[in-house]
Amino acid sequence: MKYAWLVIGVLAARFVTTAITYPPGDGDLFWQRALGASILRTHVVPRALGADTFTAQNAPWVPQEWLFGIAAYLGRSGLGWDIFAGACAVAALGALAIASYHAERRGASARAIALCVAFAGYALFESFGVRAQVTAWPMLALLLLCLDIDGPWCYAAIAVAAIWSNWHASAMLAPILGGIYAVGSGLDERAFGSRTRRLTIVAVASAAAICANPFGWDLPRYAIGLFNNPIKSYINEWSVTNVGDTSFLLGVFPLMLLAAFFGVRRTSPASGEEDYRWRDLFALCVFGFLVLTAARNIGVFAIAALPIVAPALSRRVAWFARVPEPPPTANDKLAGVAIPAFTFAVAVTVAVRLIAATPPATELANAPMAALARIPGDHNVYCSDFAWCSLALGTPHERVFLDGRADPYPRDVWEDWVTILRLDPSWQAILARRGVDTMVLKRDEPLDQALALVPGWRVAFSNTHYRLWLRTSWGAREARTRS
Amino acid sequence: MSSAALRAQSASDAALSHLAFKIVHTAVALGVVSAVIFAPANEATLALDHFDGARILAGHGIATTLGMESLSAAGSPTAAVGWLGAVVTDALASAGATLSTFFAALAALVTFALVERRARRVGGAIFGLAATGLALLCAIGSFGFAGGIVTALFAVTLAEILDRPGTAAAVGATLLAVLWCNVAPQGIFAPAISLVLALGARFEARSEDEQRWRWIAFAGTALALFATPGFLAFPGIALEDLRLDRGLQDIVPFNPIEVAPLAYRLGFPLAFFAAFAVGVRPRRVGDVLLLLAAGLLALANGTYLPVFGVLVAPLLGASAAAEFPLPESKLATPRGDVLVAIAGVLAAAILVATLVPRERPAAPGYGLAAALALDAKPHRLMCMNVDWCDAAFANDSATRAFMDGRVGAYPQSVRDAQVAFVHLHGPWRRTLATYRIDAVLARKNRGLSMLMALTPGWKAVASDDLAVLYERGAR
Repeated sequence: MKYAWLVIGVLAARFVTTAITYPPGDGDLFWQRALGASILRTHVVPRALGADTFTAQNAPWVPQEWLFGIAAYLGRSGLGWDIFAGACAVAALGALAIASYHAERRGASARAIALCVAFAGYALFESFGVRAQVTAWPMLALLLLCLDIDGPWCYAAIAVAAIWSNWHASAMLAPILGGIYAVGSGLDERAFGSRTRRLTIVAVASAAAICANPFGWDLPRYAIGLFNNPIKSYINEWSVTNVGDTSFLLGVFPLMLLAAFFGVRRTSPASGEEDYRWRDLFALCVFGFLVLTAARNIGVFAIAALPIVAPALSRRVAWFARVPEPPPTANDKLAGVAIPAFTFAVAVTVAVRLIAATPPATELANAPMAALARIPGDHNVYCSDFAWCSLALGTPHERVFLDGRADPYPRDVWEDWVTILRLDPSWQAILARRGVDTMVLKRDEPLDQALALVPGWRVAFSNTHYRLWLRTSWGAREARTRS
Repeated sequence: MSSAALRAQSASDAALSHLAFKIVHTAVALGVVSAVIFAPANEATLALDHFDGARILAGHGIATTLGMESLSAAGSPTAAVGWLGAVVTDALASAGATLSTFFAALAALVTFALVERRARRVGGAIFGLAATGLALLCAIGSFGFAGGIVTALFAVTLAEILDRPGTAAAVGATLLAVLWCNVAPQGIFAPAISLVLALGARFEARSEDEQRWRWIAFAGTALALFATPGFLAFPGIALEDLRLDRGLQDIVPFNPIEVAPLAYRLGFPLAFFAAFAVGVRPRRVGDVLLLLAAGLLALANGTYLPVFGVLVAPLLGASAAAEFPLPESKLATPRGDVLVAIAGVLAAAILVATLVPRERPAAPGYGLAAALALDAKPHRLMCMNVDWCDAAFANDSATRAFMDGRVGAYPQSVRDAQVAFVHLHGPWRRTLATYRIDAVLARKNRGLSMLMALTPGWKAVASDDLAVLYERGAR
């Protein structure tokens, strides 16, 4: 691990800086804070959309990120923000540290771990932010570590699954991974041995454990539903991975190549013969499939592949081989603590300097939203980026078409939102039918250009980035006639 | 059991396995032929090849610059990239659907026969066949006439030649590279493949003789880049044609999931899963370089997924054979049997190909552009999909296009203007005014189409399943 700490230290500076300077007005954080505030106020986790939307009021909702929402609300400003955002950076670093420890347990050398951590760390860059899914990364790393332990600690995976399910719905991976590890272990052992039995219990218990949250069975049901949910095609991070994603190209792809080059065989310490690691193969295939299908899985693959690839590199390439170390001296023990401590001290210093030097984040649609709040009357707001509309949540007299909560909105709302955005033939009819009277658009985007060409709309606010459009009274009459 | 009975049993097993192999080979070959017959032709390549090919044959000369058909970049150098491919493709397309389908099937069959041959040589019969299957999965979506399979054919032929380094291989590789460079811009892959193999031989400390011949083959294929009518300009223009510029994806789709969704979802991951399972054996630097280069190429541009398949599949076949050694003696298939099977399939292909309709219906978008070309009035056309504009040049039309499918030949400023037009960003209306565009071919039900309909002075005059043609001042 000694070299890995140095790499993690370098990454720490970057992650902490990114987290602290993360746009505080991010649309997702806004609705997550609103969720947290609502939970703390009412002591109830909402299960349906409220009156802040005019298209899907009372639509069932599984706010899977409820615990993150509370944390986001508590850490909304000042020192609270620094602690909250810093905790997200620590989550990403923790995932790398756990995966590195996992690799070391499996026989990886310090050099191999350092190289693979560098790749994995780079893979996390693009997905990293103050986001709920980041808090799931250490859970995944911990789960994989537990599943790999041939002993009672394996059962700790069940507790990890339960905690994970309260942070993010990706906890659904826990029973799936438990299942494939059980099958893989059975094939490795060629029998239903003690390890396989234990993993089978973990798989079954994990399936129950992920219901240990305010939503119960609804959480896995929601996660399963997401696999085939068409709304994914409208959300950037669900887009298919391509070589243009530098996190994929410089982080995951090298790990994939190393995994492909070395394969999953390893030398059994007991017999000295090679055994076949079905567990590793299944894990690589599952995460390999996930990473090729959606860019948001880039980080997840890296965390899963690190403990598999680093030991293979150590076994197959002499320069990376693990050399037997003599018993640690007092100096070695001191170095074991001092190196990580020094690394983190340097990382924090660098991060603080970077934060001070980083210009303030570009605002989101705060300006048009602020302008809208000053305009009297009720408003049904359409935003061409649905995350912007999160800023309107909780504002009196403003109801949104679609906002960053995204998932609970029914399919027909999504289709209508896209129809308007793409200027499909019925876009004006849908605006009328849905009763949209306010639009927040990026300046000069196609929809903005189209509104300038159709009667019944006027610009109420404009700056270099955004335009706020309101229906004129004539336009409102026309819309009513049309609908 | 007596020894005679054992011998008889063994002979019977061998006969059965030979028969089974013939059947499987035949089925695979029939599958390839069917895939070619039912795959749609590559309209973009066909339209441009028809234009270029007809012009070369009519004028007995090879143009090395964009002509007056280009509104924005007439006179820009093209280096006559792909001139021979254009002539052959146009000749085959003009000869009718039967002949073009037959040659497409032949190209595909030879490609996979070579994959099978290379994989069988290093991995035995079973894994040879499995590798062929894998390569086939990586080529789904590329089988149509003028599809991406031709690049795969050149790549696998070059790899086959370079498998046996020596004088003949160096000469053969050079000649093949000369042919490839004249057929398509992808000819620049020839020195790249040769370089990967030469570097592999160097790092693996192969015999000096082998290393020397591999470097000579690389030098020959590199020199072949200049053996085209474009001479010194060819490498630059060809590279520009294939450049991995992500900005261009807005006007030329090359994300694998868009270009070949099935191959990307089936063949590509399966190749990696197979590699995860068995690793690459024996572990050679050349193989990892090949895996790296082919993988990156396929990820960068889905058109090259078949190239990835044909280069990587034999490597994985060899690895699998090292992992799971099989009793080869029972499964060896006499080469003659395979050839007979292929001959039979080809005969069937000729029969089936005759069933293909003689006239292909015009593909959406291209049909409108072609119809515009028949208009007596010369138009100044801008297309949302640059490939559609290729069809507007047909039939000695006086119509000129802002930008067509020869993206590599257009200057960056024109490409930027085209991207802005497609996304309706920035000064797209100014581009229409500056070039006095009077016809726009827009994708149906998209922003551009709606904005054109809302813009005073423009009117939709024709449409098909995919596109709408707008004309300025039309009544």
